[in-house]
Amino acid sequence: MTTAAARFPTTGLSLVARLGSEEREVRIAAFDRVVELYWKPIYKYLRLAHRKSSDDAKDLTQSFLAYALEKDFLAAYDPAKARFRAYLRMCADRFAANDAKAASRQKRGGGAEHVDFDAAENELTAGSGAEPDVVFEREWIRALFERAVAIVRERWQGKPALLAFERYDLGGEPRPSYQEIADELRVPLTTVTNHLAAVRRDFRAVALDILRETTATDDEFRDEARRLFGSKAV
Amino acid sequence: MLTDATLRHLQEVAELPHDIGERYTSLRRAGSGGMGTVFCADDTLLGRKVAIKVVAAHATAPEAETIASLEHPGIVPVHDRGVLEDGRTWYAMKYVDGRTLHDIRGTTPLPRLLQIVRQTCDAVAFAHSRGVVHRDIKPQNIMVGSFGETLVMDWGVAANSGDATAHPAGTRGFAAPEQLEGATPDPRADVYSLGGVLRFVIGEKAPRALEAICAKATAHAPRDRYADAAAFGADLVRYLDGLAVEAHRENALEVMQRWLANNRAIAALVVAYIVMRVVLFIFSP
Repeated sequence: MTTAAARFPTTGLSLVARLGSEEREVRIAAFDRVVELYWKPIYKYLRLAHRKSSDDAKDLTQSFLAYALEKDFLAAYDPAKARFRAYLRMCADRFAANDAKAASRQKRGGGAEHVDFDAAENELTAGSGAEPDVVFEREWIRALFERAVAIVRERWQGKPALLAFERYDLGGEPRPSYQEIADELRVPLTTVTNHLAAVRRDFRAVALDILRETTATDDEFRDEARRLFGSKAV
Repeated sequence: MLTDATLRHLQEVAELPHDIGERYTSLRRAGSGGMGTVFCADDTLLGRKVAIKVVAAHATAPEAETIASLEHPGIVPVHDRGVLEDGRTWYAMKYVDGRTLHDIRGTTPLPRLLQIVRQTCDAVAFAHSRGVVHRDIKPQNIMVGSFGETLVMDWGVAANSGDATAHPAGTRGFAAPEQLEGATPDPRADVYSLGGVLRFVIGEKAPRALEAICAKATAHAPRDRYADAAAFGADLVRYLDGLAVEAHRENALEVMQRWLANNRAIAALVVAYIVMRVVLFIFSP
């Protein structure tokens, strides 16, 4: 875990490349990853940008994802024209516009059966009333970070460093002091600092790995990394 | 679910250069620029505050010796440097308590702003005399310290003049066109950026001589610019001293106007004398 190779595993083909694979299984697996990372940003975006009710936005998100799987239009994504995230949002916009024209639309199902729309709706209700574009980006960051946190939890399971990370970085406000965590773990203060540094490094590497997987070019990766971490991250 | 506050916190802490070593503690983000992110930290070895700049892994780092050789009161010294485990390069620099030229422009009189540009030229000219090109001169990298001193910051992307291996650097809007296209480092690229800083300071309209200095410094072709920051600074000093500038050939009227501007007391005496003679001539019996 501590070697550079372990922290920066090679991801092989990017998600975008796998979406265009000739093998259906590879395409479907890649599509599942798209759903995992993007269903919530899409749902919230459609809800706000197209002023849909909660039920309509659920239907629309499910229909959009099912339609995307059925028609394979994500495979037509051209990295030279836009970021993948922007392309996905544009597709959702077009789908929603066409949907508005259709008086009656058959609910399709599939594509997003395993997602929790009620939880997303509750989050949206508790949100700050930001612009749809901002919400889409924030939800993309949230989905990516949640996946990164899940991987980090799995990697560091049972280790005191994860406890420090959970308590200080994931515990929310008010945060305990390093000393309080040190007392809790019965370790010196410097150990807490080292624990946090180690898990944060891993978290950053994992998040960038996921990002690399979901971007098509180096430029897109660097640009998205700046959005993710707000600086020249890579 | 990760809350918005937790997202922001993770974004911040994930960027911290944790493996920088035990010497630097209490790292906190201070800002980010075109070429990297700056953090404040406590230097536990020498008991002082330092600024730590972290630049992207793909950016070519200048030689530490190059930066260390620039001992000048207008150049922020680099104390230490290293490479993080993930390949990012970091520099520990003197922490400067002050405000950038970018921030003070709206509240500072033009003569003072021009002095700051001149002092910037002095520092950059010193670097040029040592064969070093800054490559990212812009108002955000010019700091006016709490004692009124002018300091040129961020030498993290500086390179030796003519170094063909240097990675492209610079900030759009201030970097010379050839620099953005990957030309080898050249002092005249810094001259272009200094011209951009002068333009930022003087605004859209300025006296003709100042406009001419600005135009010469920001000429598209490097051969049409000042040879280096020293030449640019010297012309700016000529302007500030009320002398004719190299960048502009004056006509007779402009020479007269400049003489009058520089010799107002004498001009006033001459005018008063002439008026008195005219009055005496008219009213003399």
